Amino acid sequence: MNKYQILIWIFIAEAVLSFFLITMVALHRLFYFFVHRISNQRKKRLSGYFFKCIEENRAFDAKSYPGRRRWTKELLEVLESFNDRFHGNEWEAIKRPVAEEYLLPTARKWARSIFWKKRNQAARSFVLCPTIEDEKNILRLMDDRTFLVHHKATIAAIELESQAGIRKALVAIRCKAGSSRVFYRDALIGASHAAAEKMIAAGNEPALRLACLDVLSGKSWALPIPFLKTDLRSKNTALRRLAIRTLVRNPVADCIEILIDALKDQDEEVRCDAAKGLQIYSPLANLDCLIEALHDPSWFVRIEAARALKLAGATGKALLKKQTDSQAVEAVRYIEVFG
Amino acid sequence: MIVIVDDDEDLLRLLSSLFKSQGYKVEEFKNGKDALAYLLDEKNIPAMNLLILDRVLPDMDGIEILTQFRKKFPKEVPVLILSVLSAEKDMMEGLKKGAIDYMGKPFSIPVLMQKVQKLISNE
Repeated sequence: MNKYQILIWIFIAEAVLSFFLITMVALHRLFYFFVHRISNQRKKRLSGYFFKCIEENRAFDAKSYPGRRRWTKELLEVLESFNDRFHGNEWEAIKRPVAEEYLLPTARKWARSIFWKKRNQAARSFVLCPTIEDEKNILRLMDDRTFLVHHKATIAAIELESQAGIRKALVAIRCKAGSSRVFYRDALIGASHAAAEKMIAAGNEPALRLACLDVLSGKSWALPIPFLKTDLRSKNTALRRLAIRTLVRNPVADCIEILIDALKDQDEEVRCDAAKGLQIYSPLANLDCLIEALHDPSWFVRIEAARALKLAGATGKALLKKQTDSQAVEAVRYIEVFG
Repeated sequence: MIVIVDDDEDLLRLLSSLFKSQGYKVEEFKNGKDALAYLLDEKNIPAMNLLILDRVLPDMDGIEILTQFRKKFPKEVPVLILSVLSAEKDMMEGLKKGAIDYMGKPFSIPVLMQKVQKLISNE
């Protein structure tokens, strides 16, 4: 065989190989084109059915349900998209029986799967319809090392108002570093009233107190927080900081006095948060403490105190104009310009 | 008449048919540009009883629509924002810009219907 023949054979081999690869890619694309098409058609049928149920205000009826038992992926996606739009008893009356009939049996099987995609689907199904029966599965999935699994399982545990699940989420806030803990905090901030009560009960454990206050400082809960006053006097600066933030959003009877006292705290952040808190209550507060805070060594505290005085109305604004000290005047000018 | 601006076509269709079943006339818009053109046209205002506005639209923020609408018609039509952006600061922003109510998604249909009825009868 001369060198030209060898080259021709190499060329033929390359051509065959390229043809084979192109054919495989084309077949793959064609296969997934039809898979997606079928999946979209199924989703359209299911969506249409659920919209009709909502429109006609009727509950789920297995006889008229257009789906098949094996359409779990499509059903899950459709139910999730509806769950993002609606809540309330009417939607629950449709969602719950469908999920119990068509999603949860598969989810229970897949919760122990070795494939993370199946465990993810199981966790997502539990979010839609968490039941006491599935608490063990949910708690196990909370320990999963894949984020897309334990994140959904945490939401399911909080939806279920599981005491053990809520405690696990608080432990995760305490133990996880950096941004990964933020997810648990946000999930708990979205918790129901009953779940928040359980979280506060778990916060009685000293080791979980910081994590609990971190969540409680995120919004107004309209719930009594028994350890708040103790934490406001704590020697632990981090605890005092979170306690003062929690107090601002969850006021108690003598909260103005506490905030005024906190303006003299040794920690800059506590003083700053106290001044921020007084912005809400400044029309009711004795303004002398805020005038004093205009001379605070920290720039941030001075700015927040000036802002609180501005929000106190005409008296506060008049007091701001009277300032002569250079540091206070600087803070007043900043507030005048930037608000 | 109720004007609904939402990019979620299915939801738009559902709300529209629900309101029509209650006897209201409905005008639907899927994007901000068309909605704004309609809302800023003076001749459409007298017939309008309520504007239901989504914030996340493909071409603009619902707040931008609200701001321009309120600039031209400061008090005429009550505006209800229905949006997935339902954090405290988002709600504050919507209410400050002139919305009369703010509902987060997911929402309850009976609650929305009740609010709509109340807003229209108050008007």
